[in-house]
Formats: sequence, C-alpha cells, structure tokens
Amino acid sequence: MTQMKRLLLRQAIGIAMVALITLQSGCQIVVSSATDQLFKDLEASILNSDDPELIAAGIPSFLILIDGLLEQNPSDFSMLLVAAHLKSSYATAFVIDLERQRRYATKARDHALQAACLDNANMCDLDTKPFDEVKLVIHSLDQKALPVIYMLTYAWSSWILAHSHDFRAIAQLSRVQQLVERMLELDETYEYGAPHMYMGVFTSLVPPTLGGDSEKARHHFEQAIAVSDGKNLYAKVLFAERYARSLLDRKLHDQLLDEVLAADPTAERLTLQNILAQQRAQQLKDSADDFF
Amino acid sequence: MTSFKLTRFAAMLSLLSVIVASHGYATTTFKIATTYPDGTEAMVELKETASAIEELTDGTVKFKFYAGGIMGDDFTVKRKIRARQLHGGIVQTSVYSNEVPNLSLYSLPMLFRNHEEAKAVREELDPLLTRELEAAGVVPLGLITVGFAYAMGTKPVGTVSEVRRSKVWVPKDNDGAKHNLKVFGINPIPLPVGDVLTGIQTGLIDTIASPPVVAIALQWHTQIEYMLDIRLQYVYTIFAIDERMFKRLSTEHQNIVRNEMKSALLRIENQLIEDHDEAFDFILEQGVELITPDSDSLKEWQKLSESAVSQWLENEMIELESYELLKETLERFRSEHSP
Repeated sequence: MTQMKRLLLRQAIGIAMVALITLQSGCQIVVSSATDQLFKDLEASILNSDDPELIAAGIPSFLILIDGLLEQNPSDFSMLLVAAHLKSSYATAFVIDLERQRRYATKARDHALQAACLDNANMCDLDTKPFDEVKLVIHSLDQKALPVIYMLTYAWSSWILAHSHDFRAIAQLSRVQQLVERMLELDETYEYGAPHMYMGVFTSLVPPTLGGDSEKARHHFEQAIAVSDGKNLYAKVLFAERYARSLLDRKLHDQLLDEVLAADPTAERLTLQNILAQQRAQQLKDSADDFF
Repeated sequence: MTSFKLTRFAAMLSLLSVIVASHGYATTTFKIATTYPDGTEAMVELKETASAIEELTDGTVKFKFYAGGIMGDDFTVKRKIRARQLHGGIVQTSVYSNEVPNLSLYSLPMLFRNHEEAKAVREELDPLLTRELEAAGVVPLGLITVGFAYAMGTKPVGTVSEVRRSKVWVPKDNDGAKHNLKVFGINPIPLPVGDVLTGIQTGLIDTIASPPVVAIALQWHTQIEYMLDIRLQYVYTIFAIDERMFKRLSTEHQNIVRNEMKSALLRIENQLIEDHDEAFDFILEQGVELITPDSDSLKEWQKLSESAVSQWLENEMIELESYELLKETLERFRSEHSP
C-alpha cells in the first residue's frame, strides 16, 4: 500500500473518532446515518486494501470504535453487520492466539445473530430454537435478507471453525448449512459466488471414501470460480484445501494453488481476502510434500 | 588411490551406513490414517505428541497423519497397511477381530453400565489384548473409547419388538454389529456412514445406534426425535501400528513411541469420556425425548443380550476363558461398588 493510502486510512479512522465524540455529545440521530455511511466506507476501504499488515495494525482501534458506538446504540443494524464482518475477519485472518480468536469470533457471531433478530423477529434465537423451526424460518427468507444471511453464514462458520474442538459448536453446522442452501437458492452469484464456495466446503466435509459426494463438491467449487470470473481466489484455495486434499489429488491441488499465486488479487471488495488467499496458498504449497 | 583401496573404502562406507541404520539413526516416517477430523482436539494432541517424539528421537521418528477419513473406511485402511501404503491407523476394533477375537469382548451388548466399570475391566484385560495383538503382528499404541452407543431415531422405540419393526441402520462391513442385531431378531439396513443423514431424511432408515458425540459430529442429531436410555454397546477404537515398520526402530525409540503415545491417547480418551456425557445431555437439550424402558422391556433387552453372548461363545467368536475373566472382574467391581 502506498504512503498516501496509509495516510487516508489513518485520516478516515481519525474522522471516525471525531464521529464517536460527536455522538457522545448527544447528536445521535442526526449523525447516525452519516456514521453508518462512514463505517461502510471504512469497511470497504479495508476490504479493498492490498496491505494486510497495515489492516492488522489498524483494525483494533477501529474495533474499539465500533464497540463504543454499539454501546451507545446496540440496535444499530448496519453497525452490527459491519462489526460482525470485521471482527470475524480479524479473528480468522489476524489473531494468532487461540483464546483471543475464539473471543472475537464469538462477538462477531453474536453481532450477526443480533442483526438477524433486528431484521426479522422470526430470525431471533436461530442458534437455540429447534432445528425444524430454523429450517422453516430460513427457507421463508427472500432476496432482501441476503446481506443478513451472508453475514450470518460468514460469522457463524468462522465461529464454528474457531471452536472446532467443541462438539456444541460442531452441532450448529447444520444450521449454517441451511443458510448457505437458502443463499444459493436466492442468488448463486452473491458476493462472488460465496454460496457455491460454502456449499463446496460443506459437501467436502465427509470424504468420498466414507460416502461423501465428491462430484457435488467439485461442482460447487467450480461454480464459485466461474460465477466470480475467477476473481474469488479464496474459492480456489478452499477447492485445493478441502477437495483436492481429501481426494489426495496432488495435480489438481498444485494447479489451483499455482493459479492463485499467479493471479492479480485486485478486485472490488475482494482485494484483502485475495491477498490473504495467496498467503494461504503459499502455506498449502509449502506443506504439500508433507501432506501427500 | 589404487582400485583395491577404493573398493575397501566403499565397503567401509556401506558398513558404516549399516551400523548407523541398525542403531536407529535412519529416519522412519509412520503414515497413519484416522477418521478424526483435522483441527479437533484429538488431532492436535496427536500431532503435538508426534512432534515431541520427533524431538526425543533426534528427528529420526516421524508421524504423518491422514485425518478425516481421506484414506478410506477402516477396512480399507487395514488393506493399505497390509500393502505397506500405510503403517498404521486409528480404527474400530472390529477391523482386527478376526486376528484377535478377544477384541470383541468389550463390544458385547449391554456389557458395561458406566465408564467406571469399563475402566476397571480394561485395567485387567487390556494387557491380554495387547499381547494377543502383538502376536498377530499388530503393535497397539492404545485403545480409545468414544463412549456408549444408544439407539436413536425418528420413532419412539422402547421395546425389542418395536425395534424389530423399525428400519435399523448398521454400518456397512461391521459384521459384529450385524451379528448382534440378528440375535435381537433385527434385520438391519447396511449403509456407509456418509449416507446415514440422507437415509434418515428420506425415511430409508429410522433408527440408528451411535455414541452421542459421533451423532453430533455427523449432524445426525438434527434428525433425531427419540433416544433409548440403554447403553447398548461400548464403542472403542485402536491405534494400531504395523509391526514390520515398528521393528525398524531401536528398542529405545520403540519405548519412546509407546510411552508418549500411551499418555497422549489417555488424555484424548479422558476428554472423549467427558464429551460423551455432555453430548448425551446436549442431545436431550435439543428437544430429543429420552425413552426409559420399563422393567419388563429392560429384562427382555438383557435376556437377548445374554443370548447374544452365548452365541458369540458357541461360535468361538470370543474365548471362554477370557470372557470368564472379564465377568469375574466386572462382578468383583460391582460388588465392591454396589450402593
């Protein structure tokens, strides 16, 4: 990232600080929509960043800010979605300490669940209500709910990943899968083919040797790549990690990772994720001899 | 240097390499398959232990794990071990019950009432099973329980006759489970593990038997409405290493592997036992109804279980002497711990 970009991001955070102070001065309603936009812009600038190190260093102060704002207005739907997105990304991409990772992933999931509940009363308690009810609620959701469904999927699956040692977390996988299936029905192209990418992961959970459907998994990963025009590099990384490795297909594994490493990571709202995908691709390549 | 000297030098070099190898300095990598998913605590524990072993053996003994069942089901893993494509696996004990029939002892229906009974019996009999496995060319690094299998499903089954009317799943290739079900007059439907969830959803099967933790890991709990409060079977796995590979290690390194892995497996098992009881409660918290059999039904289950044991003995699927030792240990434990 250029010096100018760093400066702009720091200035943006500075502006957000001012916004927080303004809010605390009492002009909450007037400022709310302006801060919403500001935070959405900041979220976008983070997602479009090509400098993970800067984001890793800058995100904590941004998160403190968001927490402050949410304390003032815990029912701010947009802010909850931004908080869920950034805390989830921060936990999975930048936090190494496992306990901290779990704490942030939990906060992110809670924000997403709260946003869902605010958006639609039927979506309250999605993590605890009986599974059959959850299925009915999720399958009644329409296009308007896509941002919430996506964020719930993102934050909830990251939370499960961070808690994969705990069967209570694993037990919730089916609930997230319902969200993914609905997202796929509503718009398979959403967020660069995210519904197919998640379905690919879900379908790969049981390897073909134990009865898993590898053809279906392959189809979903290929669709995620196709509908994103190859821009979603993370779909290729997961294709290699979850599918090619489970089939011990070294050729496909290496081919996908080489494509990721050779690709231009720049894409609207995907740049940071793509750069992180390239880092992961390199790790997978480095460990391939050990694995296969 | 003359050609004579060169030949002598080459001979000395090869002799040196033989000496080095025979002292265990050559690197040995054990390729191990397991159905434990990557990232779980069990896998983390195993990998950490493997690193410790590597360090203690100066980098000469390594482990490479194939997690999540990617090497195939347990019987495929056994075939691959024979073909030397793998050197070990964490597999269900029924895989080795042909070579060591006594491995089926702990799997007899309704044998243990709780983990404490199982622990007391295993302290007495595990050494016997270990000896028999070693004699069959299998090095057991440890036995690990995943808890008790309970009948669960979409129908409220409490009596044996109700189960007989149900569509009961049995894991494909698990002859021991098929045999037990046959004694109970149940004609099961064999399916691979990966087809069970769809099987319940489509009504192909309506009753399964599984330890609670496994039912949760495979998401079967989302389809379950009833669970029968009978500990049908003690389910356990074995971490088995191919003796041909293990013998390549020096005695010192063999002991390091045995001791380190034994401690790791004990830690894993303790966690699994803790998880088992919590997972049982968790399934009930999800709204699953617990069916408690009345005394007549329970007597019928017990009577049929005893018939199953008699048949196992008659068919020499387990040894009478070992079974008697087991019963004696169990009865002694029960008398010492009766309220």
